[in-house]
Amino acid sequence: MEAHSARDDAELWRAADADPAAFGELYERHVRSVFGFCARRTGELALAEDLTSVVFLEAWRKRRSVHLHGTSALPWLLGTANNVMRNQRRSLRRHRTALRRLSVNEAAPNEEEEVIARVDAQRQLSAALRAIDGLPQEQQDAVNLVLWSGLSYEDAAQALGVPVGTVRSRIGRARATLSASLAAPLPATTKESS
Amino acid sequence: MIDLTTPPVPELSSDWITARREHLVAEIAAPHRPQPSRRLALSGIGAVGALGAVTAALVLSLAGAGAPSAFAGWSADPTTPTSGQVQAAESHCLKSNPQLASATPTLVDTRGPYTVLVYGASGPGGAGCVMTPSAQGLHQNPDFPLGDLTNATAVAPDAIVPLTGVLAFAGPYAPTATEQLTVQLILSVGRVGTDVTGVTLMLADGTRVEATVTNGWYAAWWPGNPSAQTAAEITTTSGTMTQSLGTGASGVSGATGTTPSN
Repeated sequence: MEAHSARDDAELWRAADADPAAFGELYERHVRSVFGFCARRTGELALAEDLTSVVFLEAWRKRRSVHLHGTSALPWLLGTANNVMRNQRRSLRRHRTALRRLSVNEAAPNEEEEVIARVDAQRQLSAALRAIDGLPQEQQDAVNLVLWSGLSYEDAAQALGVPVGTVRSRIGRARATLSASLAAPLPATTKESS
Repeated sequence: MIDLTTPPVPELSSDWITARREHLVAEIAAPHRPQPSRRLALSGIGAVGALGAVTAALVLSLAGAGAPSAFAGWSADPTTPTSGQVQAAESHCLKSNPQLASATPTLVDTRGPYTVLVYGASGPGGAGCVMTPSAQGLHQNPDFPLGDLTNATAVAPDAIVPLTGVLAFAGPYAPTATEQLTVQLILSVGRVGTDVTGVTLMLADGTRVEATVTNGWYAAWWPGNPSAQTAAEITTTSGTMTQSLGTGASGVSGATGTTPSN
């Protein structure tokens, strides 16, 4: 694996047009977070892998028109991931040929242990999605971005294109709804004072 | 116990990430990648119906243009079509506009993966359709008549007559509330005099775009900023001329005169 440069995301983003390797560095820097977000949103690991690639292909496609706020590309990438999943079929169709090329020669998990781990993870993801399934989609998005993906309220607001207060209220309503339905206290997070 | 703690996701292996990264960089670094992408077709059939007859139809088929950036692979000079490129565009265009079923293109312009087909005949009226990969996220103007071709029939032997309506379409494409992408292309198409063998359009920003000239027609297009064409360098059997072109709101309003350059 290549060593990361000292350049921040904004510098890599600007350099990417002339230097695709800089975009590769951005990819390596954030692919885990994007994949985690996609997996927790869809509950399907293989689909999440494809959607992760779509997010970066979209990022490349829009590299000239997008100016990052701050130095991290992650809020923008997760916001794009959110949009990609809202239009999942269209997004996958748009990039289907590129996706085929990206996954060529990719080995499927063949170790028994790895297969079992994926099945187990799939099950846990499904359970987590069922837990929030009754929430409005915008509250699910806020939960995924803030509680599960670790974005700050400010970054989540940027990703969703809404005011920070809206993100706070969505998280609050999600907590209240789930607390009521479960009749049990929900865990606090480090993102919010309790 | 169901709660809001973060559900675990399997860790992506370093090998997986490295492989995907390499493939991704190769993908985006490629000049263009042909792919059978879905195209949005906006035909001028409605306009044609209003005019009563098809006198010219222009089809811009961005067949196979699956490049990650808008119009990647575009060339200022016409390129040699790849095997099957023109046939694929014709096939797609006929599906979009059945009235072209018995027509043969009078001009074929290829620039990298993009194909322009002009179905032309002299006379008033005209219609066209534009096809573009949905991957480019373009919103398109659904109505773009090609202009009145009547005056084109009287074109001087050493001049060109651009159609009055330059085809242009643009965004914005706004996938999120915080970003907006605007993409534009401008297409110049028209008739050429009997002595014209070559046309190079000169844009306001200095770009020179060589047109395809065939069967009394020329066609060229360019992406990006709406740099209006300011002049045409016209090659004839007796030399090269420069013809200034007026600019209007749509970029071109027609020929305004000729100026010998040699």
